[in-house]
Amino acid sequence: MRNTRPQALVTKNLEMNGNGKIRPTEPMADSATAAHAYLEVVLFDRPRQVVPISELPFFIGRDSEKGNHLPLDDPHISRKCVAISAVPEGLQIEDRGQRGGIFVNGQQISDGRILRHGDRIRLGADGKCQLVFLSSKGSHADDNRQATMPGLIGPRPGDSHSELNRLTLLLEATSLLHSQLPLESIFATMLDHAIAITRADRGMLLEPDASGALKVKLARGRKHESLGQETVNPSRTVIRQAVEQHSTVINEDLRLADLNVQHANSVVMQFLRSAVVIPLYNLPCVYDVQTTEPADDELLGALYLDSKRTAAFSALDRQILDALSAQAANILNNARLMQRERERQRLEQELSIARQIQQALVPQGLQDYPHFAITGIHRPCHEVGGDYFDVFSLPDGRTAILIADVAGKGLGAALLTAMLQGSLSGMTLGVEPVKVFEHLNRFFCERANVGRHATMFFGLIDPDGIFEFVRAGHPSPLLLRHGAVSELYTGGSFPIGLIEQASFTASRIQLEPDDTLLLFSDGVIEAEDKDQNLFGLERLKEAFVHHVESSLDALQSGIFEAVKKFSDGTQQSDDITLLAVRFRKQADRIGTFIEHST
Amino acid sequence: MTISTESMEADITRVLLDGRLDIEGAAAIDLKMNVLAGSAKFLLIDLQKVSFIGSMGLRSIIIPAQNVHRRGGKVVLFDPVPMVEEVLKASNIDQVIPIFHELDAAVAALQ
Repeated sequence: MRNTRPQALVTKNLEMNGNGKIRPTEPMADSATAAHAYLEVVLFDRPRQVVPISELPFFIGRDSEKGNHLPLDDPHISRKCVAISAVPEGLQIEDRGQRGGIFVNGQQISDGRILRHGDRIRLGADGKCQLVFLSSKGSHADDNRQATMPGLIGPRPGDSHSELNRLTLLLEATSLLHSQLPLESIFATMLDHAIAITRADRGMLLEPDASGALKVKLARGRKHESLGQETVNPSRTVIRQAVEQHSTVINEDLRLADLNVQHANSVVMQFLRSAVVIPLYNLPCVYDVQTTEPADDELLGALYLDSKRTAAFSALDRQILDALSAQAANILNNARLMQRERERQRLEQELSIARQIQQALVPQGLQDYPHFAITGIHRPCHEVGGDYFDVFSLPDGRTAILIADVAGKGLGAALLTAMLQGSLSGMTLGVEPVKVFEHLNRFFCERANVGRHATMFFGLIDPDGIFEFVRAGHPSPLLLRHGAVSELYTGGSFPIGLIEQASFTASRIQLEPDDTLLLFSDGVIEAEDKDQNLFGLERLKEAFVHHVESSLDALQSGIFEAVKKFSDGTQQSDDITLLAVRFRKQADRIGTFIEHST
Repeated sequence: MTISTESMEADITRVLLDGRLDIEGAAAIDLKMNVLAGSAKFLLIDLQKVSFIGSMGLRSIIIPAQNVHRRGGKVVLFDPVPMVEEVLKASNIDQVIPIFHELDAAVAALQ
């Protein structure tokens, strides 16, 4: 359950909570005394608790050993935090050295300050810990106002019939959360309920726009009518105050509020006398707090109510308002999550299309070459990858075999593989491979902002086993001949697109029947186990050497298994591509031709 | 991945890299490397504490080094571990930026 207010406070000594009654009903003497004053403490993950101010002076701080009457077990609270003591004017609060200071109704106190009913006490600068001072003197004042302004203000405390009505409203509002109604009408009904509870003239739901400024999303009047979002003019001053304080601001009489609020344009022009603003926050879950860096609570919006008359809210009213706004925060949060989810699904769909296209660009049906057998597999570590391979025939009877690895992975690299493939397919038009490599190198270097380069190995195999190849920074393919594995080349070569002045050369070797070539991307030899050891070239050679007699499919899956076993559940961190080529014996090739001609 | 610098004799800036120069590592040092490449004339890139280098990591070294070259400066790589040296050599990086395992030789090459 998410709440509307930061609650990261744990208290000990819960037996101090009293009998759960929030406000004493008995009349009070002129000066507030300990027995008739209470502190409402917001408890972590629990309903609020009300603690009587049992003796004076009354000390609050971390741990009980320091003589604290209200020990708060929270690292944000200093051991000596606050003292409440009796002075002729009433009860006075003093800062005893709380880190970050003590704030009463958003204002830091330097000297002692007389507490008034409903004062919100924030301990520390971060707003994680709040107390509300309750005195029956305050409730007494409420009673007076009720007498002078009947019908305009909240019910008398203890008016059980009225309280029941309010709880019914709350229950109705709660059930809205599970309704199938459109969001707009859920909020409209919630606002109507909030207006009914507070007897406000207007209720508004504000949501932050793209720039983070709170904008009226919905406005309702007391007759369940919608008000124009443009014409309503909520008090920005009060809203700002609530957001800055990170907590609910209730102004029962704006003429008693601080001067900024009193003189605010909207307040003066609209004859506003009372206003309530409850900022709605998306609080991190408990486990989030423990496992990640504490993040700022996300402001989802605010519930705003105002009236041309003064108001008086009982503690129950406040609780109901809090509960209502918790629901509103929930609904806003769900709507926001839903929108993110839709966006995520859309992106996922796009990625899945990209994947389909990339897979379709990889040649299919690789076994169909008369003078060699070939099998290949490309396994990107994300949906799409920066590796690719290609096999295509040239007009002179040779077959081109290519493996390429674009730096990086994911969508960015995948875009470039498609471009490389397109360029290299130009070789079917009779362009020299070395020229194509040099052209691509210039192309990438001239567009340095692309920020990628690629390693490639490009081979041309002719029916007599002459294998001509060009390399560009790619790890050497392995050659399995007569039961021994060797590298096709040693030493380096420039990748494509890293260094402008790079040049490329072609080399050639003569393949013998049954020679098997293994082309791979660095994702194979750089596969890691859980201790970040690399699979490495030696293990690859070892896995390869056993496959003199195996079919290419068995070879491919054997090597894949070896890599997988080595990684032992470690997440694949790079794209993996394997391409195995076996030059056929003369007899096999005749067999193949016969097979093909039947 | 962390990057720090210290000044050496003869106007040489020693760049100490520490960590894995994979995609994330490269992203972590790119900006600082480019700033260095825009100001320093003689760069000694100390790779002793780089345990891994991927292809994006190569870029983080070669692109700034080429900028230094263009401005008439010099860059050397100092004492990479075998895995890192292999990757550098496979891409011919050593032909563009010399690799040294002795500090004296690395410094001498920059003078």
